[in-house]
Amino acid sequence: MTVETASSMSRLKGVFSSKKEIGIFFAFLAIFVFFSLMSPYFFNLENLINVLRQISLLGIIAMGMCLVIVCGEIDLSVGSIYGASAILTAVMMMNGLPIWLAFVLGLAAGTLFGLINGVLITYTKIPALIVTLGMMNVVRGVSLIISSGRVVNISPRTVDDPTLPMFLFLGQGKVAGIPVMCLFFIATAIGAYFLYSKTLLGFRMKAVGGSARAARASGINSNIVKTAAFAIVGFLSALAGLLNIAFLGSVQGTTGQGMELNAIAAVIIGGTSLAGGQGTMIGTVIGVLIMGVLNNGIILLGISPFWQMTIVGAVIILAVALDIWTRKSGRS
Amino acid sequence: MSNIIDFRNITKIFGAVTALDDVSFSIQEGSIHAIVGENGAGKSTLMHILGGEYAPDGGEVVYRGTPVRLDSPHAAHALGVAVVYQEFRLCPNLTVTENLFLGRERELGNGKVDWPLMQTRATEILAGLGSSIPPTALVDSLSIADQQIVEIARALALDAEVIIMDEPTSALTLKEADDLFANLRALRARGVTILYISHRLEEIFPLCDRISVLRDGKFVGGFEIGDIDQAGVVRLIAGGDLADLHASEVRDYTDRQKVLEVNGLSRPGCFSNVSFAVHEGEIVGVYGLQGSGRTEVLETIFGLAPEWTGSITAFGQPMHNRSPSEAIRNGLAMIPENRRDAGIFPDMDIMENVNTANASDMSGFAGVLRRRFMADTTEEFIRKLRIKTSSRFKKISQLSGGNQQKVIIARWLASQPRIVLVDELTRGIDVSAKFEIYKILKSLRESGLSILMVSSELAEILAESDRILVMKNGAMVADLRGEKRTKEQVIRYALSGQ
Repeated sequence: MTVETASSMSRLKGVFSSKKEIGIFFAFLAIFVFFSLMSPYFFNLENLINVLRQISLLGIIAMGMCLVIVCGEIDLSVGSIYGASAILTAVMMMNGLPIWLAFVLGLAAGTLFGLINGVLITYTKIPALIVTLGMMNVVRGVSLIISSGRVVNISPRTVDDPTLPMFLFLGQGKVAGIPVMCLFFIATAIGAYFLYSKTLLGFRMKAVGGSARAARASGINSNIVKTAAFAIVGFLSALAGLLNIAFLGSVQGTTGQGMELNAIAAVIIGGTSLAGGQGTMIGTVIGVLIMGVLNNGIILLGISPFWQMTIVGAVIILAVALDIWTRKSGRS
Repeated sequence: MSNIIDFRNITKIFGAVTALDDVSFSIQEGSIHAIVGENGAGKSTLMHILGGEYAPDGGEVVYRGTPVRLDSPHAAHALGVAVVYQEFRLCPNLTVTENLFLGRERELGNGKVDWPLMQTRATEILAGLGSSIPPTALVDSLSIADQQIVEIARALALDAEVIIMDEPTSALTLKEADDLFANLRALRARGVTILYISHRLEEIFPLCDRISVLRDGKFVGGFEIGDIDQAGVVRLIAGGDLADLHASEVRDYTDRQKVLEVNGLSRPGCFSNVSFAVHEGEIVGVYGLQGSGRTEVLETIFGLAPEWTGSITAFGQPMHNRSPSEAIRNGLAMIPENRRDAGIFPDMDIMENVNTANASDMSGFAGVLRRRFMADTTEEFIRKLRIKTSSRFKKISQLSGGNQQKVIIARWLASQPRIVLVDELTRGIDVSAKFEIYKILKSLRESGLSILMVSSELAEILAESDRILVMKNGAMVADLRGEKRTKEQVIRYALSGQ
């Protein structure tokens, strides 16, 4: 038995690159087991797939957010970009643009918002908190202006393009029982992991976030590296926004409000430090899963959904407290 | 005179490391007592125990004959012990007076906060230190030397009987250091006891009364300063014979090819009309007081300066680096002055720290990292430079200063430079690691690299460089070689400029 645990532990270590990730994984397991025991509806395939679908969009954004946080920066505008790119795309579709073109332009718009964030932050030295706070409002305003505050629907009645069902499939369809949305999340997670752990760009994000001066002295152009991170999170926010409208068939000016804080929360629960210089993509995925399972479990247990925010908030503080506490006890 | 402090069998253990092992010695009241040893010898731990930051795991501190419990910095202050740390613990956003009485704002006014009274007291204390710093000045606006005076003044505001100075001259110019020594002597005359922790033996001998040597957490000897010489202390610190390490042969390579030529280089506000050349395989030392423009010259060559005029030629080609990455492509490397801020990536492991300046080698198609190459490079340098570590996956912040600096050297050698600029390469590094680093420099010279070395340590400049350039107030005032390459000449030019 003990031998078995030891070998499975070492196998776990092969999957995770740090003790921290193992700790977060076990925290997730504990929550998972708790809800499985407490509710007969929790541990069944349909519900679990449902949870996975619910967190997919948040997860896609959180992967990008983690990269920005690794750079030692923050992005508050992702929720607005998520909403605005969907509205822009929907309006373009309704005005007769081919769907594929509207789709590409929607992604480009999100990337452009991210690029503007990055350029402003790095070249004008205005703090990211301020630039992206401003951008959050500017982009939100764009959504409200374009939609005039009304709900924008895409359906065969409003969009005259035979490929509309293909677009809606991205949000509503399933492949082998798994929602397409989840496949996008999985692909994003793998892509982000690869970028962060295996490429020069990811490595440089870590370097820039760890010590800006040392990075500069090592010949690293931190402006380019940070701008790339903001562009990536802008792109991913737009992608999530487009999947959302494909899922719901509609979008409104306020769509995505609060998304930025949930994304940051998932990254932090996952064990990434806001100070920059270190982050974990696997941890972020688990952080997203924890948030999804908590939200789902709370509802299944019949607890008032009003408690959700309170509980998630407490989990954020607890996660960071545990991390600080274990690091301290590890040192002495 | 009697003993003010007796350390009795002090032991302190951190995890697997015994930082202090049964250390016993005494400090005489009213003396300046030097504590020396390599980094990691236990000096800082001892200081932290006396300052109330750490509790010893064994033994006791006896103060004026009574065993005392120092369980907080406050307890140490109450006893009359104050520490002036190497990194000052001042609030830069507050004034001098506010800093002097921080946490004790009510003390002078009998329970009321009496700023005018505190102001007067602050002025008195500062005047006693021969300083004219206005007590209303913001600490942020003061020079390093003045901030140090504020730290000392704060100790005096606490009516400290014992002041511990941790590497006090590491950021001071010669002149400022002299002023500090005068102040410390004056304090001694007033009966204050000073514990003086330093690497710089040349300043300890004229200043201190006694010297205690620690090695690997053990007390290895205590002497009246007259009973021992520098060589003796170095032997005790290192625990071995270091005689051969000072041996250094000076070479004249000025007939070789010029790899770097600087002509009429000027940067507004920093230096003007600086010209010199570095030859292949040469180690050229640059000496000067702090503020003479040495660091700025290196930065300019390495592409870290926004605006400059004049010309820089490398390997016969004009070179105008607008960023460090351009400089790296042009075959340059620069090991910056401030290792902690501008050198290491504290959260990264050794391998990642080594592979940062060699972007074109460490990544392949589409920027995918070549992990195997990175690992091989790191292992090679761990072996070659004798970096003491259990593995390449150890975080750099867990290494000693000397080993951290070796990792930084490895980073720059991995970028395969032809000219290496180094700035205060051995600052804050213990004696034996220093000598190892000097050996590395010499071996680089053998392989044809040229080195331009800025240093504040005269002994280092004299022992390690083939030729010495001296700067003063932003001008290059001397190029000393051959017979003129002497300590007296270097000092003369650095101070008087002629």
